[in-house]
Amino acid sequence: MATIEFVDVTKEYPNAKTPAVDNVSFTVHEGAICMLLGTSGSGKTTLLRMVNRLIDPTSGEIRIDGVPTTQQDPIALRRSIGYVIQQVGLFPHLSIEDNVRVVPSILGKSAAETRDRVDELLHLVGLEPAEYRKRYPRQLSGGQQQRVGLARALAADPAVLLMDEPFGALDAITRARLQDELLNVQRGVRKTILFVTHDVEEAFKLGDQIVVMSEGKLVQEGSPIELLAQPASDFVRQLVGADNILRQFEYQPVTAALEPATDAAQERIAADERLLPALLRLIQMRNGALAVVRDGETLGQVSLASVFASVQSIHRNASAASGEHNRSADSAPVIR
Amino acid sequence: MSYILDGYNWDLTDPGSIPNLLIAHISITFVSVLIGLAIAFPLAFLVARFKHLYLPTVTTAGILYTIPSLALFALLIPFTAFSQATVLIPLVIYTQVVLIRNIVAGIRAVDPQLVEVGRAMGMNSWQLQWRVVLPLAMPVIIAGIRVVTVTTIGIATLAPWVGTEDLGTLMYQGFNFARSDMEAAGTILVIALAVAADLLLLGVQAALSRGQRVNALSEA
Amino acid sequence: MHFLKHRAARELAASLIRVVKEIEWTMIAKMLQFIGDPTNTFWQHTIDTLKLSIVPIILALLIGLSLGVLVARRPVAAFISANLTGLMRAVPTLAVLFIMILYFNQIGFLPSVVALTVLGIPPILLNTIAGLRGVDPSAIEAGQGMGMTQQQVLFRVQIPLVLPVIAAGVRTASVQIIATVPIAGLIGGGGYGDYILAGINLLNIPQLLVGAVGIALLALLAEFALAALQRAVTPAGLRATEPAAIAPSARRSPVGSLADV
Repeated sequence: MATIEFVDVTKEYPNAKTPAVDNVSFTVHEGAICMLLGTSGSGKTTLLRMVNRLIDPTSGEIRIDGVPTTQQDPIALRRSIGYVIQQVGLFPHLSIEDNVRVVPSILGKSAAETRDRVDELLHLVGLEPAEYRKRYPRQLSGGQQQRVGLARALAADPAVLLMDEPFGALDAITRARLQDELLNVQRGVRKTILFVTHDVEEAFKLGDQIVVMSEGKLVQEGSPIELLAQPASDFVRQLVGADNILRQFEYQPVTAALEPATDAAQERIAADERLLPALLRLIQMRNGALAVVRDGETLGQVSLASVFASVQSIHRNASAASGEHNRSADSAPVIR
Repeated sequence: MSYILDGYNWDLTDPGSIPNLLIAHISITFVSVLIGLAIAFPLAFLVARFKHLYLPTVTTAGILYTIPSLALFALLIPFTAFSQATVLIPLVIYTQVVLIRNIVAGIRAVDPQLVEVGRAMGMNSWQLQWRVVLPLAMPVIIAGIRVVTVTTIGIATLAPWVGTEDLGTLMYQGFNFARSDMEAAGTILVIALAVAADLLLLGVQAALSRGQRVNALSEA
Repeated sequence: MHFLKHRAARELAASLIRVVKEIEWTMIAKMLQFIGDPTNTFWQHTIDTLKLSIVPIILALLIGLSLGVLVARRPVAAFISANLTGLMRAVPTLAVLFIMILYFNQIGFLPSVVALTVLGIPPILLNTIAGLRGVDPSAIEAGQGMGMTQQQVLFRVQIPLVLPVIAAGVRTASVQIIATVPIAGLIGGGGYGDYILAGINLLNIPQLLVGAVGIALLALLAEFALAALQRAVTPAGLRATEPAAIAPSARRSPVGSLADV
């Protein structure tokens, strides 16, 4: 596990007017999935590629567990970092087994030594080793190839995983399945993951932390909830859809609408649940309240009134930031 | 066919017997292609990296290739007389244009993304060439070796006219002594050798292309 | 000391150059003398060489082109002829010459011309097939869509697209034929090959070199002239920035010759 710190990282190219990455600083904590979110050309991929020194920053530094990457041998550094890209990049001349084994093998490990590890990794990403070990990449579907790509990145048990739009080329259903799979794998391996995406849904689904990039600059950094609740600019508001009331319900935890517990609470809901299922339940119950519980302890309750109040406060924040009021009108009927 | 079937012509102790001439022909071809590869590989990797050197190199090799083989043999006689060098030097020169072009094309056809992935996984430059670039370029390189080998076998039949013995000797002597059985034997054997080499290398090519259809990234 | 070394080296180099030049000049003088001597019938040899080159080139062009046009739109015939001619390319040129000697049971002009023609057909045939089959049907359709007549489609779309490919084939064939002309000389075909053969046998270096240099110059001249022709008939948009390599599946790429420079 590892912490990654970006300190005033800037990358300038000789013939470009503006820097590709402009003075970016933030920290990714151990075991977190950090989503770099932005449009193409926002500098998110450049930022990612500076972590394993495929590109070196013009100024500033990136520290992994406090050690600046520029003080490490790039070859050794790259071997200690997993890398997954959209085009998958499996070596077509190598079998699946040999593809997964690339990093251990360049580290000098023999096929016999890594055999169990390959099987374990293929299992982890949901491919039956006996069936897939000897196949070649072109015999696999896009989704299967990306599973192998993930297994290959994990082969040397790196503390850090870099993923550059890994699911971008897949169809929606396969993409969703692989996103679930990644979360599943991550529960077991707890890597520090930097994940580049331009897909907001993906960022919200996978991210513990989201870094919004635009034109090389870090626009906002925070948890999905923070981005929704307090978008730092119109750009972020539009990007994350902060005005979309359904999205608010989808990502806000029930604790955002907490009020003191009363006798009205007929049912219980876990504190890490989102507002949306709570709201649906409340509507089904035609009123009343849900007790919010964490580890058997009641923190309070949520009711239609408290949900309404929380949404209003979110909107006040949002409107205060943008001076825009017109959209709350058509959202209001939804919660009444 | 009578000449080929006559057991007398298969006497291993006779340097002019069919097996010995066949071995001579194969070894001339093998040595030429091997030396050709030893020159073409470093040259090709050099011009693949320094792109402005590519055109002058291939143009030079192409012009040399255009010089008719017999003319090149003859041009060398004042310098190397009737030694094996007179045969080997032109044969090696003729291999260059195809080998360099195919090696470079093979290298260039390797998807840069795959090289990038290799780099990102921490391969050093030697490992990148050896584990990624070379295997992916191999089918195109083998195709070049195949063409060159067959061409070399063909041109080497002229060797007896400049003093080196191989299967061409049967044709040379057959012609000089008006022995059509020897001419036919030489012709059949040399065609058989060329076709055999062609098919053998085709097999190698097919075996090496296993698993990869093209040198591109497999589509996601 | 340094100065001395320097001067010694310079003197050595100068004397070396002098010696080489002397040998060169005597050799060139001897070659010119050989050419000037009427008993050597240089012009006759030159005419024979040109005849041995041009007749097979024209024959190969006629046969290759008409065969190609004939089979191009018939997939099975095209497949068979492409593979047969592809296989034929493995046959050494000297072997083709000897097959003709054995077949005609004579030596000289006839078997040589037939052999050279046979050698010249494959590149022209293959490129004609490739060129005709390679015309993008959508280009023809686009032409028709713009209201071109059948004839206009042929002259404005098809021929301009096919011509460069065929020209490349003609160039490969011509260089191949000229390269084989002196080899035909070895078996009584006449031309510059005679000089090379006699030069080797008599160890007459000037004679040998007249033959070798003559044929080399002719081959290079043909190569450059035909390369220029090929460029001239290639529409600017189709000009490759660099020669194509040999595809793993084909002996030679259908477009461009091995001597493509």
